[in-house]
Amino acid sequence: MTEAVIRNKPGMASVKDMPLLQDGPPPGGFAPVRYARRISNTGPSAMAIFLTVSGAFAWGMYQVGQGNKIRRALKEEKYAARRAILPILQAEEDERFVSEWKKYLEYEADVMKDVPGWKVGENVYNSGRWMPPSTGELRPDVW
Amino acid sequence: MAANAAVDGTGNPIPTSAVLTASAKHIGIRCMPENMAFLKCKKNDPNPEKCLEKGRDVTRCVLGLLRDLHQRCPKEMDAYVGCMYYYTNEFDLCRKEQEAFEKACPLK
Repeated sequence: MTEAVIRNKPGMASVKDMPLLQDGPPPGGFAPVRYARRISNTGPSAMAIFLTVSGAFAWGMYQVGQGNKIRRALKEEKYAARRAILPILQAEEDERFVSEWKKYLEYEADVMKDVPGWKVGENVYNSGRWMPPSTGELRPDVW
Repeated sequence: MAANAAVDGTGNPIPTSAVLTASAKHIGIRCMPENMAFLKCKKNDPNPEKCLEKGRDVTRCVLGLLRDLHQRCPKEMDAYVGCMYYYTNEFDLCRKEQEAFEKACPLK
């Protein structure tokens, strides 16, 4: 009903005779729209880009090398300090180990004094070299 | 006696890790003969009972050196040892104290 009231044409016989109400272009048509690509050809050339990138890469790798040199020097300083204090630490540990070993040998002699063929002292390997004791602690009850 | 003291009450040097790394450069130069002798003995025979004498030489040299360093420049050495203790023996974080120590105490 509403459309017939709005689009009324005096003297129309039925709804099918209503005048058209359409959304259309303005008179004269729309303005032309550009849709073609416009990518300019200016800017650095391929060789320029390549040289810049490889130059940046080379400079970066050079900086990496310099940084590695510095880091290696720091590590060398740390290792040199460790090398310098290794003997005193080993000497202190040797003293402690020798006293513990003597106590352990006495304990072993005490435990095995009734066993006939036991050679008491140490009866480790046959190669002649000194090997550290293979078990955890020499006297676990003390530790 | 805090854990970062270089000497105990009677002036004896305590060889903690901070103290040893702080004076490592001095030890490497001044106790080099004893260290080398001890390492050669060890390479020959790893038995600890065989190298006890040379080990005692090393200990005597290093502890004497620590006491000597502490007597000559106590403040700088304590500062350096404290910094080493705080930063767990990182040389790069204690450069200031290291320079002060090496300037005050001997020429390495």
